[in-house]
Amino acid sequence: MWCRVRDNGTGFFRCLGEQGHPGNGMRKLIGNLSVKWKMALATSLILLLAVAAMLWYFPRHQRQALESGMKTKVTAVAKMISWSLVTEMDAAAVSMDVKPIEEVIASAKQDQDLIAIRVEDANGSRLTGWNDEEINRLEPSAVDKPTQVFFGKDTLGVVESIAKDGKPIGLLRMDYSLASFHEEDRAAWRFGFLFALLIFAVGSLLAALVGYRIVRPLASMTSTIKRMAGGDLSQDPLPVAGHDEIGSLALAFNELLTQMRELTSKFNIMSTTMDERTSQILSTAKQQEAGAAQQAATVSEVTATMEELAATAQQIAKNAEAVTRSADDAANAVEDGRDSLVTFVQSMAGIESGNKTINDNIVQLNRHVQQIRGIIDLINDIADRSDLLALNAALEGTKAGQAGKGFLLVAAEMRRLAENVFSSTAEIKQLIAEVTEATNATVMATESGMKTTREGADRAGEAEKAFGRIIATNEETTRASKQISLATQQQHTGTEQIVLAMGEVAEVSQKWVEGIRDTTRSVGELSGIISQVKALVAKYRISRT
Amino acid sequence: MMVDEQIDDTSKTPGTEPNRLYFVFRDGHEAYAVPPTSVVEVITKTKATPVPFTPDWLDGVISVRGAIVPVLDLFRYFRLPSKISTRRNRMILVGVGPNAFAIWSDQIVGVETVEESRMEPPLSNLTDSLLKCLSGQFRTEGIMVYCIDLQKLLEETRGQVKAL
Repeated sequence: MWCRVRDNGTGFFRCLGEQGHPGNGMRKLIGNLSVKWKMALATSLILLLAVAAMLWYFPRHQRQALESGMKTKVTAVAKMISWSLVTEMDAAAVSMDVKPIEEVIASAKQDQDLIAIRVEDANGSRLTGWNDEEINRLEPSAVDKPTQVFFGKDTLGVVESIAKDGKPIGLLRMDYSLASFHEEDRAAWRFGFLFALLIFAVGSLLAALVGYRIVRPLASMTSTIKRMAGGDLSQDPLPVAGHDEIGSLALAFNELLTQMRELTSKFNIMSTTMDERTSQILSTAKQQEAGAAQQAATVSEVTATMEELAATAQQIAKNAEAVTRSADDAANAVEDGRDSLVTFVQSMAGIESGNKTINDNIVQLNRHVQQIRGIIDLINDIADRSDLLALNAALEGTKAGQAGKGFLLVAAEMRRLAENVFSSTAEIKQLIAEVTEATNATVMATESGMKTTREGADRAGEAEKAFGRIIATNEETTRASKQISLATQQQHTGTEQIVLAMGEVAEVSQKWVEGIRDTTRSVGELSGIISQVKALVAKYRISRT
Repeated sequence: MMVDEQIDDTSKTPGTEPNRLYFVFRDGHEAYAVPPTSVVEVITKTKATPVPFTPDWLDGVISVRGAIVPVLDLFRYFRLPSKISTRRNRMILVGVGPNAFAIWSDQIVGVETVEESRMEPPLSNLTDSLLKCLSGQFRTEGIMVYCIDLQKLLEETRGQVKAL
């Protein structure tokens, strides 16, 4: 498990925790270092070694070069002086005058590094010199080479043999101060050290820069990947700087991000579609389940109905037999009815003739009544005339005065009689009117009765024909009911077979219902899984909206 | 014989009012009375022959035992507001002097004795033609009976016919 030990913004020290090997403390420490620091450390180490090598090599080489230069210089100077001194030495040997030699030495003293000079003769005696008390203390007095140079701690000693024609005639000894030499040496060291320091610093800085350039995209990538792990796929693509490995990595990472985004988007859509599809499947399965259950119920209903049908068919067969019997009975009854009807028709004919007689009689009666009316009119006329006669008689009686009084009484009586006749005839007229009305009504009734009787006779004839048809129909009914009986028997057998088949169908549909129930359950579980997948996918945000 | 009013013999007995005899008949809603002595006879209805250029109240003429008699329609003559009776079945033949004419009737009531006290003065709201021919009126059984002065009626009718 990775754990962050320290993060001060410049780098990461990480430890491997319990996964680390306990014996490898240094490796662990280095392994936990940030790449940046690792690079810086490596570069620093290399630089350090390079600087050390440089510091080891270059000052030494410089010193050697300086020494060589110094040697060459002093040798040249010694040779020049010795050449100058050859003639002087000869002269001095002759004249014992050392003055010219001193002049040469004086010219040589112009070199500021020269600290002491002595000229000896062949015997080694001091001819002349300057500041030569301590000169060449270290060097042996015997000289085997024309020029010998000795390095001391602070001085450089030169011994030059002065020869003339290959024969040594004298010896020149010189001491040079090494102060300036040491000064140059120290300056070279100083320069080298400063230069190394500069290189180290610049190198470290460059290493840190390169490390930073490498690490920065990695850090940015790391944070991006972390956010992606946290579900945010709506990251900006990483900046691609250059075509190096880091750039390639960024490119590859960006491609990965794009593909992941597409993948998540597609997955999202797919999971949504799958969710919808599973929902549809689930609803369909539920509908199917309901339908199957309904079907099972319907099958059981059908079974029940078929059983009822079988029972009904049995009943129908029985009923058909009963119908056959009833039809036979009806045939007999109809036969009887036809006989009765024939009798009825004969009776009707008798009634019609009786009615006709009644009608004739009533017409006769009416004629008599009309005759009575004529007679009554005659009586009425006579009464009217009597009344008029009585009235005129009364008038005459009145005109006659006292004499006509008895006549007046008779006339009055006559008038009353006439009036009585009037009222009686009026009553008779009323009665005659009533009788006429009644006879008319009777005539109409008898005519209607005759008509009805005729119609009744016609109907009876029709009924007789109908009875004939009924008998035929009855025979057909008997035949048909026998066929029905047979057919229902067959139907009964058929329905029993159907009942058996429906039982099998019910079993199958029950199994089907169970299967659909299993499917529904599985689809429900699938839906749950898809919901989980959807929730997981939903964690990945692919856009910033 | 010119008799306007005949005094009943019974009215001649002293201490009692004189009674009058009237021949009462009806025509439609109206009842009329004439003196019995002026009534010649009562006949059954006879179809009248129309006479041209005569008033509408003169129905025409009939022949009674060889004599031509004009038929007077009192209803029309008096210009009464109701309808002409459909039950007219009698004609009363009256004689005023030598002149005779017939009057329509649908019911003959008979000869009636009327006390003088029962007579009422003529009403003022009657038509002129009725008022001119009226000698008085009385009530019998709640019905107003107009007593017609046949002489005046004859004169009036004659005057009107001549004026035509």
